[in-house]
Amino acid sequence: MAPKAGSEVIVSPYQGLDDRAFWRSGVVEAGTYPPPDIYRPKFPIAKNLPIFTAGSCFAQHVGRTLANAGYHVIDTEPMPDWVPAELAHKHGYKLYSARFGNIYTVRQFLQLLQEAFGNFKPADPVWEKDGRYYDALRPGMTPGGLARPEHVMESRAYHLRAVQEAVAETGMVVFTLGLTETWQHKPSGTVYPTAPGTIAGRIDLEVHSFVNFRASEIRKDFLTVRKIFRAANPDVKFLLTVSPVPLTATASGAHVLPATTYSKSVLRTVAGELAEDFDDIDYFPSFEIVSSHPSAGRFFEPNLRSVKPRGVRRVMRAFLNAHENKPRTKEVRRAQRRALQEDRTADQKAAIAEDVICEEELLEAFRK
Amino acid sequence: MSKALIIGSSHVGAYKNAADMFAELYPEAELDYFGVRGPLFLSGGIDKAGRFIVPFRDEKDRAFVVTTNGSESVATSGYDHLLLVGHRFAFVNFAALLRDHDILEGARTDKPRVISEVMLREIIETVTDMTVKDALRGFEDFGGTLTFAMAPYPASSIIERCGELELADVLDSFWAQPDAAWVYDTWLNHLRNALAAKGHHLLEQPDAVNDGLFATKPKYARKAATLNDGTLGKKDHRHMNADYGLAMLSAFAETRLGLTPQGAMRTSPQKKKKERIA
Repeated sequence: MAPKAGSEVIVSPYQGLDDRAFWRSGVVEAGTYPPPDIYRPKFPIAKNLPIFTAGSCFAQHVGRTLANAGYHVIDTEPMPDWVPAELAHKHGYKLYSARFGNIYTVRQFLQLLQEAFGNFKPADPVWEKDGRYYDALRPGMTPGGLARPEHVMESRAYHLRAVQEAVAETGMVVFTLGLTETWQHKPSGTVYPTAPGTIAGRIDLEVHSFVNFRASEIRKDFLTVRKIFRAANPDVKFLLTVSPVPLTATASGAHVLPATTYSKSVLRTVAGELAEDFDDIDYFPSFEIVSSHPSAGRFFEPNLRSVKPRGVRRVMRAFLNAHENKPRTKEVRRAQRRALQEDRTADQKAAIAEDVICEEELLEAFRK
Repeated sequence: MSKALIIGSSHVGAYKNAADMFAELYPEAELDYFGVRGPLFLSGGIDKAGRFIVPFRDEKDRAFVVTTNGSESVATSGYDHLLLVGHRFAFVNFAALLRDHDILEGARTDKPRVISEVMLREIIETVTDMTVKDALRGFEDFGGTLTFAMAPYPASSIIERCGELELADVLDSFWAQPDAAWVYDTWLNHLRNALAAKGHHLLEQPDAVNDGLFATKPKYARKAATLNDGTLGKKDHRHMNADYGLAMLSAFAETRLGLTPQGAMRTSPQKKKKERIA
């Protein structure tokens, strides 16, 4: 908060600002990590507000945590609780508000919504591999594929109705921006979540091309996404996050490290500007909590890419604490330190980490 | 003389009520019965001393078991066979899934969602395996083969209770589903194989008592009796009578004990055969 002009003599515009505004008090001497007060929600989230979750693989954690914390996360393609979660996840259930799988780019999200409402027809929607057929717009959702292309199309028609239903009841959209890079069908502009040939289909460089979306394109796409949701509910709110998961591979020609930094910087910029420009859009700094240098990489697995369960817990705890208005008393800080210790212990014991479905892992496999 | 112990939930009542008829037909078999409430049965097991014990929730539980069986546990040693009665192996869950889903590769009945055959099969197999694992928990120390008889399939007349009983609604919808047979066969075959893979056996309901898939003829639910011989309400479509108990015990005697019926009802199977030919 900026200091008010008045009787006080203003020496510096930084005088009187909260601790959170200064690196030393806000980070170095904060006592806990993530620092308390790292996030101040722009608007409250009532437990009964229907939440639409989507995004890149990190978004699965967000949806799961919100649901476990008692928030109303929409699921219009549900599976009963007695179906083992691992099995449901494998087939794309219980991940997001409908069975669309990971949505890595805003363009992919926009396309899905436009298709659901009859305003977009994807090119080459069915991919084949070894005599089995896959939905090109969510190829990871049917492991092993389906027997006939008609089954893919019919399944997609049901899915699109479920997306429509989800949009119609949405009170808030939680979206995790994941990537700027993707592959598109050049003549139609259709983008796919995985490059053709990765899970199924075939790459044809005459038809398919690499695209690395610019900030202006992503912003424009997101504003159209917003328009679609607002058409169903003018009071809908948006919460954006940026995935801290680095690129598995880049097709940009750059080294993957600067390519990752570039991509995440673009996404962070778009998210930040949208949150600054619109009252109904908020930004939660999960990316910063996990990826910025004060975390010293300790939230990443040895592959320096997958986020450790501890990192996810820390991010989601910061989010829930902020939204549930938990006072940051000494007791709370003590509890946070205890939780930190428990996190470490849990990590050591964790035989099975909470897994996320991430098609990008396939890229790594293809590298070999 | 074959000696078998029948342990189970309230459905043991139907078997117990058939005990006299069974003894006439199969004098070479000696059967003992131990029945407890369903939840106790499902969480019971054999202790180090070889006794089947259950975790009583309260004194009322304990008193009921003692009143019914004469003791609060039963020794399993000395028996050639153990017949466990009352597991359901999750079939109702699979039927319930079809209330909202058509099978993608199958017929359409205007359900709001579709599920692929691959995923449905995976669910059936995975969940059935889990129920088999649960059913065997607590019986690890029993040396011999176990035979499992499921809780009776509900009487087909249960649809009288549609709108007031969820199970009735689920089964009504399931029986109307054109792909029901695929689901039922997938489940039953997998269950049979999963138990066999662990060295155990599934005692299936004989065709004569079945009224289609996962359904028992209503006549077997008439005058059904509880474990302590109290008559159940007319609306009970799950507990079966002594005729059902006899059919199951006969199937057990013939398939598991290797016995053939003797005495007054020896000609009964032939009559059935004639009926089938007619």
